[in-house]
Amino acid sequence: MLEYAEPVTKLIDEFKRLPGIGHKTAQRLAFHILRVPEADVERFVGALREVKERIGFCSICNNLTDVDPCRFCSSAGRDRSMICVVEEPYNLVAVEKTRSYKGLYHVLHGSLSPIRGIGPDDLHLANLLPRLKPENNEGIEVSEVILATNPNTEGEATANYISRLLKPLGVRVTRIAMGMPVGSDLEYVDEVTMDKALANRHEI
Amino acid sequence: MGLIETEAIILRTYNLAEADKIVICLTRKAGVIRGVARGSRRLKSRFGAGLEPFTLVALSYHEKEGRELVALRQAEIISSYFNLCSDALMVSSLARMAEMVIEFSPPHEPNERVFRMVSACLEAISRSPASLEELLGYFEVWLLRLSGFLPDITRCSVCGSSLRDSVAVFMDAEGRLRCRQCSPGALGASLSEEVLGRLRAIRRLSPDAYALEGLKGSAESRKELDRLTSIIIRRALERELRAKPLVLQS
Repeated sequence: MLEYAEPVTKLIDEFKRLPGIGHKTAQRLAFHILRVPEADVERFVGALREVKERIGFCSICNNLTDVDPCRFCSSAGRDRSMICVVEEPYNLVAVEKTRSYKGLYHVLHGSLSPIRGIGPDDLHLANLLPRLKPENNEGIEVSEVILATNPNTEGEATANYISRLLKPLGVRVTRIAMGMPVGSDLEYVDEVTMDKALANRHEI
Repeated sequence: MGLIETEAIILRTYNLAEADKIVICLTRKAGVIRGVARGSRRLKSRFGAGLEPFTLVALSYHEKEGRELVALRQAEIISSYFNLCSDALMVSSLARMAEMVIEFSPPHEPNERVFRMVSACLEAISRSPASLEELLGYFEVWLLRLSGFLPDITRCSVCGSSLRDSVAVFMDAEGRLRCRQCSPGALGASLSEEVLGRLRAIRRLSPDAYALEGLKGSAESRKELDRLTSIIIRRALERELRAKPLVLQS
């Protein structure tokens, strides 16, 4: 990296620290920054600074937010008797895009992964159980917790772990269905997905 | 090199870039390999559920000389243990198995016996999940034996006498077994007759047969076997395994 001036090398190194960015991509991004007008760079730097300064965790659901509680937890229009548990804030966005779910959320910021040494203490789980009590939920009892963790080994293990915690409290715990993606073809579906689709079939 | 086709057990995956995965698997033909599965996280990926940990697949991949990572092309499911993985406690045990296979198997070195043993253990666990702890002990002893880390359980490492005749057996600081006469002052970890019986049973029985046999033994001897294998694993790796058992919070 001696061939570039020190500030350029520094910028390339910083880009390389980002997830999924290798040396070549970092180099391309750095040279793009050098080419764009200064105003664009200022805007970019401002956005980075603002996101670090203003975004934090919602004290109720752990979602990323610029106001505490977040707009979901403080909204009067949301159904407070339902909580949808997701792994990451972008999973919440995926559920929200359906426009059919009107309840609250709880963001774990990860999933159980024994092989990586990620255990329950590493997830944002501690504040889920207190939320089920009416006194912590504007007097409304939570009647259902939907476990919308990813449909993979780690997501399944996480859902199973949370359901074991919640079941003794008498709350209804449900898991999102697994099966065929819309627009796919039965011919190409693997047996695990097909098995789950059959298990989760419903009467029409 | 052309397309290589082999049976494989998926051990671990990491996310890579936007939609790819790095996959570590134990193959029948090439031992432990690491590969990239392009697009495997997309909704309509051709890999489907084939890259979920502990799945037995018919794997196809390209290998280029001098490259550590192979390019995975297809993973056709032969046996899936996804339903087992929906149990958080089961997953932590399977994760321990996967970590041990990765740590004790040198990359790109085929070992047919290890492959058959891991497949048989997974199959036995899926048939009898209640025997998980017995089968995990069976797996650990066999993997240590096939990797050359399990001491000889038949003869004293010093005098060569049969350990069956010894009134007590001790494991010394080097991890070798000694008879009572060769352990002055009874130094080292002592092994009960029951745990030696378990070790002998593991050597001669299939996983399914040992699961039945092991359940007849005491819980104390199972714990003693766990302690013994943990000492050998720690000595071999010079650290603890990362995969820790999950404990349900109250």
